[in-house]
Parts: sequence; C-alpha cells; structure tokens
Amino acid sequence: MRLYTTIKTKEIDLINWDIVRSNREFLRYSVNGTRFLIALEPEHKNYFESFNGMPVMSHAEALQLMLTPEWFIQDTES
Amino acid sequence: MITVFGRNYAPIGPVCDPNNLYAATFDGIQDFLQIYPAGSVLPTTDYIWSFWVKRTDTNANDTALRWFWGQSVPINNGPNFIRMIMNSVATNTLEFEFRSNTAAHSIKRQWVLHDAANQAITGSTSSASRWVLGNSAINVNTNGYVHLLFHYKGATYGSPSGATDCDLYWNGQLMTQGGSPVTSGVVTNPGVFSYRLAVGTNPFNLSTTNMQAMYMDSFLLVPGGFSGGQFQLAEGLTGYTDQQLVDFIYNSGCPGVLSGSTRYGRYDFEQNYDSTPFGNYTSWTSAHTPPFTTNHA
Repeated sequence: MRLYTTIKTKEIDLINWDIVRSNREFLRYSVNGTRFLIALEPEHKNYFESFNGMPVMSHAEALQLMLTPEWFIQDTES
Repeated sequence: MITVFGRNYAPIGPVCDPNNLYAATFDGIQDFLQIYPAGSVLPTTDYIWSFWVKRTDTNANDTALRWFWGQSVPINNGPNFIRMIMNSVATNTLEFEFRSNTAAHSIKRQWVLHDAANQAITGSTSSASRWVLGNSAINVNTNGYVHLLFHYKGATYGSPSGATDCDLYWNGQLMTQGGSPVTSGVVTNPGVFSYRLAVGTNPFNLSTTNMQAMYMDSFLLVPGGFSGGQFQLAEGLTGYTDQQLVDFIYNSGCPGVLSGSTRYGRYDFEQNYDSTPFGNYTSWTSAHTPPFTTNHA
C-alpha cells in the first residue's frame, strides 16, 4: 500500500526521486503551487518523515487532503 | 448452442479466467493511463466498452466528475470527445457523452443509480446511497467489483442521435436512462485530429480533479459493437441476442476465459498495461507506475 506526502515546490530537486512513486512530469500541485504531492513505498517512510519533519499520509488521508481548498481545483467540465 | 422452437438456449458463459490474478489500481490522486497519439472512435460506428470496476473512493459527498475512460484531443474537447464518468455533480449518476463536434453536437445519456427502475440492479435506493467503498447496499460481485458495459450505437453523419443510441448494462442488466441534461445532437464529422485516450482521468487536460479512485480489471473494447459481429465470430457465438452477448461477457460475475482473438481489444492488467494478445492494441502508458492489486475482479 502506497503512502503519500507533500513536498515544498522549491525543494523538488532535493529529494531522492529514485524512491518516489510519482512521475515528475505529472505531479499534483497545491492550488497556490507551493507544494506537490508524491507517493512512496512504506519502506521509505522514514526518509520522507525525516526530510519533511511531518508524518506521511495513508491513501485515505491523502484523498481527504485533496478535497481541501488548498488542493482542490474546481472542475472545468460540467 | 441449442435452439428449441426458435429460442436460443445460450450457455451462461465461459469459466472464470484462472489467469486473472491482478487488477490495475488508480488512487484518485495522481494515477491515470493514457495512449497518445491515438486513433479516434468515430460517432458513426457502434462500439462496446466493457470493464470491471471497484470504486475505492469513500467520499459519499463527492461533487466531481470522475472518469472511467475518455477520448479527447489534448486541450480541445470539441472533436470526437467521449466521456464515461461517475457524475457526482448530478449525484449518483453514470454518464456517457459523445461530442462529435463541440457541445452543439453532443449525445449525452445518464443513468441514475437510485432511480426506481434501477434500484434492483444497482442496490442503491436513495440519493444518499452512493457507489462508494463501504456501501454494502451496492450490488457487487464477490470481490467487490461492478461490471459495466457501455454499448454505443453510431448514427450517420447529418443525422440526429436517438435516445437508444447508448445502452448501459450494470452487472449484465440493462439500466434505464434518467437524469438530465440529455442531449441528442446531430452527428457531424469534425475533421482530422490527433487524439488522446485515458483511463482514470479526463484526456482533455489530465485533470487531477477528475481522477477516479478505483481498481479496474479486464477492459474489453469491441469496435463495431455487437452489430459488427466480430466478437461473436471470435467467440463462436451465433444467433445470440444483445442481452445474451452481455450475459456471456458478464459471465455470472467474473471475467471469463476468452479466445485470445485479435478481432477485438482486451487489457487484462496482469501486472502490465499491454493488450491480450500482446501487440494487438497499443499498450497504455502509466503516469506514476502504481502497484497492481491481487484484489482482482
């Protein structure tokens, strides 16, 4: 089961992309663009918690975060 | 097949595929599949999309459009734009739309899960009973999957589409249309474009808002639909009605062993995004290499 965390956009080149389960070309950014979300395997949890200083998220927690105003982008379709 | 007094006694279907061990996962956050560039499904041609879906979204208050499959020109959702979605804006509604050339030439059909005529089929008996993970009222198979089959019936250029131009079967049962808006635009030829196909998001813009949290398994594509006869030829099914063919594909609730024919398209998602047989159809490209799940259909 994948875990998730958010990274500051200005730190995009500081993380080890070899252990990230997200493609840099299709990253999901917050509405104001200051953070992006990545998926990771549980064995790399400590690396990212140390990097960020905050706990990683479960799938359910990440889905909830994506519904907040900071992350949810209004649909262009109707 | 045995025919007695003109009635076809069709077998229920093939045995459950013993090689179906995995399904593709989509987290509803960042995952999708795409093929680009791709050829276009045309509005003048019958077509069938059949797939098994386990929605893993737990949000019963979702208000977004969530894509199962779509076709669009990137950043141009006018020509031959197709969407098959969970329309949570309309509440508990499945939707099919085919815009042959902008919204002015749109064919849109909807099926409300909790409409009286659909309640026995879907299990949903109210607008609050959504198709989300954890809602035990929804009718799913033993592994938590619903089988959806969209049957689009093309119209000639210059003709208005008809109300029966797209049928939806839920677990092999024909759903009754409802909801709004419903459109029946005149089918037109938009010209030549380069298309993108996508699973799990809107191929128009790969929008994160439209990403679907789901497991998907055994995706079947039948160009020409049932009227084209290619599926029947491949599987040796003669004289079957549309409902009998749907029953064959639904197979009493599990993906069946099929012939491996190249007459139609199949993606089994057995830890890859290739077609079966390999190379018959273009392989999907995954955005984030999500893991596959052994919770298959």
